[in-house]
Amino acid sequence: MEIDLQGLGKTYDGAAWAVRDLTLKIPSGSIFGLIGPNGAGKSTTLRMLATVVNPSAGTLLFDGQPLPADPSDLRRQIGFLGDGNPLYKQMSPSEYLRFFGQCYRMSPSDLERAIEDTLQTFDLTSKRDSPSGQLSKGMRQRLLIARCLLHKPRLLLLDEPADGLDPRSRSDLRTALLKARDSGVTILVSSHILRELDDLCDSMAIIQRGRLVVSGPVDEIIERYDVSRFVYRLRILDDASKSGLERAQAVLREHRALVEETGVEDGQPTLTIQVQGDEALMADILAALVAAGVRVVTSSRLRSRLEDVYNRLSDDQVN
Amino acid sequence: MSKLAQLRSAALPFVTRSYRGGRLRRYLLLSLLLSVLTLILGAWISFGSGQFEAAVRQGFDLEESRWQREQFEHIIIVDSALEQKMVLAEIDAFDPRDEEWNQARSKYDEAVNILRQAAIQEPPRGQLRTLQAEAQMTLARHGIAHEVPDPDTYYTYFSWHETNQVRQLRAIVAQDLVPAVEVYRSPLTLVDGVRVTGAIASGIFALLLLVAAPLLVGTQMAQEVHENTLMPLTGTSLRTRELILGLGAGALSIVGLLAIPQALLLLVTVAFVGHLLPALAGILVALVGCLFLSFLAQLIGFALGSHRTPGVLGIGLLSFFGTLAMVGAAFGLMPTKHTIGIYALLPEAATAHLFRSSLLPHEIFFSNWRLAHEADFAVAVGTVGIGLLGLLGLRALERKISRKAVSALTRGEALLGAIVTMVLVVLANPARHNEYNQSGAFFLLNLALLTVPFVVFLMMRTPKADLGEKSTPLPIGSLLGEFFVWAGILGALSLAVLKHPLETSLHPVFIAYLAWYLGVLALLAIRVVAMPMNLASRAWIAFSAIFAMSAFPQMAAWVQHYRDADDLLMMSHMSPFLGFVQAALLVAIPVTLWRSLRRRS
Repeated sequence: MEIDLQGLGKTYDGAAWAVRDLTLKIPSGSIFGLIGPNGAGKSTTLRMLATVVNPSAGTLLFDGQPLPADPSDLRRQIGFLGDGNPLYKQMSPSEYLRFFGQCYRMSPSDLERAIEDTLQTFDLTSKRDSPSGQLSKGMRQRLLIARCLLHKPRLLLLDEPADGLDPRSRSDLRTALLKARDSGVTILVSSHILRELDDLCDSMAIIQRGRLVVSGPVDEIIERYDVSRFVYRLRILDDASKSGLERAQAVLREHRALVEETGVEDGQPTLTIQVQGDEALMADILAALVAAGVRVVTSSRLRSRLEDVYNRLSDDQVN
Repeated sequence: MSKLAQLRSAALPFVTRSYRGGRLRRYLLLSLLLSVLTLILGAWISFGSGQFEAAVRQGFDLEESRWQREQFEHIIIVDSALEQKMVLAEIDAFDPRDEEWNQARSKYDEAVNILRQAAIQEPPRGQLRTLQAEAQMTLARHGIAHEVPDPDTYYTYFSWHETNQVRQLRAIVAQDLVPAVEVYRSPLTLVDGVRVTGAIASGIFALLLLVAAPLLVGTQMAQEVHENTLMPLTGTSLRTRELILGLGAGALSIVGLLAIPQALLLLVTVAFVGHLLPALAGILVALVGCLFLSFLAQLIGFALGSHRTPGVLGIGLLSFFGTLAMVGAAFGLMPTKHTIGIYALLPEAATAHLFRSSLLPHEIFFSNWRLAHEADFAVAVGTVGIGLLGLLGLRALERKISRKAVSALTRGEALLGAIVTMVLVVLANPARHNEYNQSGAFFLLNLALLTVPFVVFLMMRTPKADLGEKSTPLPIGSLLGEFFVWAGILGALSLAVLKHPLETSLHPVFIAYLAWYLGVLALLAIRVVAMPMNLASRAWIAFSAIFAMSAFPQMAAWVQHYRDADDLLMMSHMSPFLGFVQAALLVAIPVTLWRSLRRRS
């Protein structure tokens, strides 16, 4: 489903605007990230798209069609996960899915089939009859997203879906969303945690105080707003005693370089470092490393991340 | 999809949720147990010989009180065969010349008193003259003089015009002064027992619909709001109205399982031993009342669910609906000519009245057909009015949940609600033209009763402040105007209805006092909805509300009794300083409320 927002605005009281003059085009079958600090208008935008809140201004087009007066049929094509979405703790996953399937007026046969498929897709079959209150947080979140996908929507709206999830659960969520995208579902996901969206979204928009700051494909935005940040990844050859790595870290400390990440690549240690200066300083650091006997194999500069772009564009500090 | 199919489809998820995981089987079992319990209760109340059962039977005029039977049937009622044997032995051994006091002596003295009075008083008609002759013969047979009883022992007054005393005399003569001794047992027949069972079923049915149902519906709404589970439901295919009705249907499906067998029991019993029409009308009124109270409970649950836990709200709702049910049952089961108008205002009272009329009609309506028609009229108007208020409640709830309107009620809807409540309250407390001080009781009591719905309607008209003080221009003047129009309609209605309004009700001081009271209430209602509150403003609003409430009885007392400018500030009687404080508050409260609202207007 392709979504067009044209000059969309929302005021709850006729004076203060929660969202103002928001114009966006969300391509069908893509994952679109909506980024902004708390109170930026992300949740209001998603609620308008979910048709649970009426826009005060502008137009919303779903596949080129305006919002109908009675949106109940349109809602069958939308799966919406709002923020702070608790479960009914006494209901089991299968009962919970059945309840929402009936709220979407699914036929009994389709519903039972969809419940089985969804439980399997989201790896909840073993817990199908356990009370939801006994599920882990990750499982509960999976169940909430499963509920949104149960009625096979063409548009999935997720407000802060990874909030409070551990890394494993976030990875599972990412997998589930990519799978949904591959089946043709348009996904709009909001978050204020940028690392969640960096390599998940095809396109994104940054909004602040209800207004659009920038939007477009993620790569294009990063390219356009590339930030001069001196981050390098070094790969070094090291022996079994790890003395090379220790020597490298000592040299980096001397030159006030920040080690952001350590890892292993092709069996050899890597260091991701941020240099507090320009390329000349990096040349000095490399020379010092060689002088100290560190065997540097490769040194490459890393491109900017979404977070860097956001920090450059926004007045507010996010994440 | 037809409307009915849509409604069924909207109710399905919530009913399925209510019956999930074997709950349906448990509710059916509970319903069966409740039905069996009704039958057991019916049999127990009908045929039990304990004091409690007897008191219940006597309360519904099914049985004469024990002391009345003992007196008018000239018997001694005992509780066991052993006691019967002892009392019979006492009677056998009784000698009128002995001075010892016992039950035999007491009955003997009472009988002699009655016989002596009957012997010398002139009976009104021929048949009773024979009875008088028999009484005189009885006295003669026992050698008792026909003298006027000593006034000191003249504790039983006899009159030939009292049916029960003539009955007592007949029994004394027939038994030749000797009292009968009976072991107590219920005098009810099997038909009476069926009637009592039906009455119990009707009571349980009414309690389920008018207390349990709104309690469950309201608590469930509060829980959905409190745990934020309502929001996902608003994004499904269900329209807001369907969602409200579906949520209600889920809770009502449980109550329905318990209530339907009780309704069937009631209908079966009235089909054999009662009147079907009032029973059917009672069921209809209970259903309309159930819907109205359920929407009201949903509104309360929605409004307070985010601030209070469902448990606390549940206790509050139980107290509220329980009190209404008790008050309504008292008015419905024990009617007087002054209280039948309450049937218009309280569906609980109307339901109790109709169910009682179907099985155990009250004697007040036998002899006074006009009163019976007035009761029917109050029930009919009340049912329509309550139904209309229920629909307004549904509309308000729909707008509040969907957040697609500035205020919960439109101007026309609020006016309709105000007029409906006015009609119901005026029916409940009509003007009594032949009674002293009727205008005060009529106008002031009705105004006090109507203040609550008027304030609620005004709150539903006020645009809510979602984003703090820099929000919508608030139409304070327009809202105050609406409130005063409603009060004005009541004033005009009162003046039109009353033949002799109190002169002071048109006194400028009274009108100014009344305007102050209404204005402060209206400002408080708008302030609570329209503006955010902190601890200090909450405290000031609570204090202002208490001060305004306390001003009403002062105003009522002034207009009815004092009518003197010196008595306007009651607190000045205690101390001049307190009088000054009262005067200062009379000015400060509306001014501070007005100033705070002006920030948004």
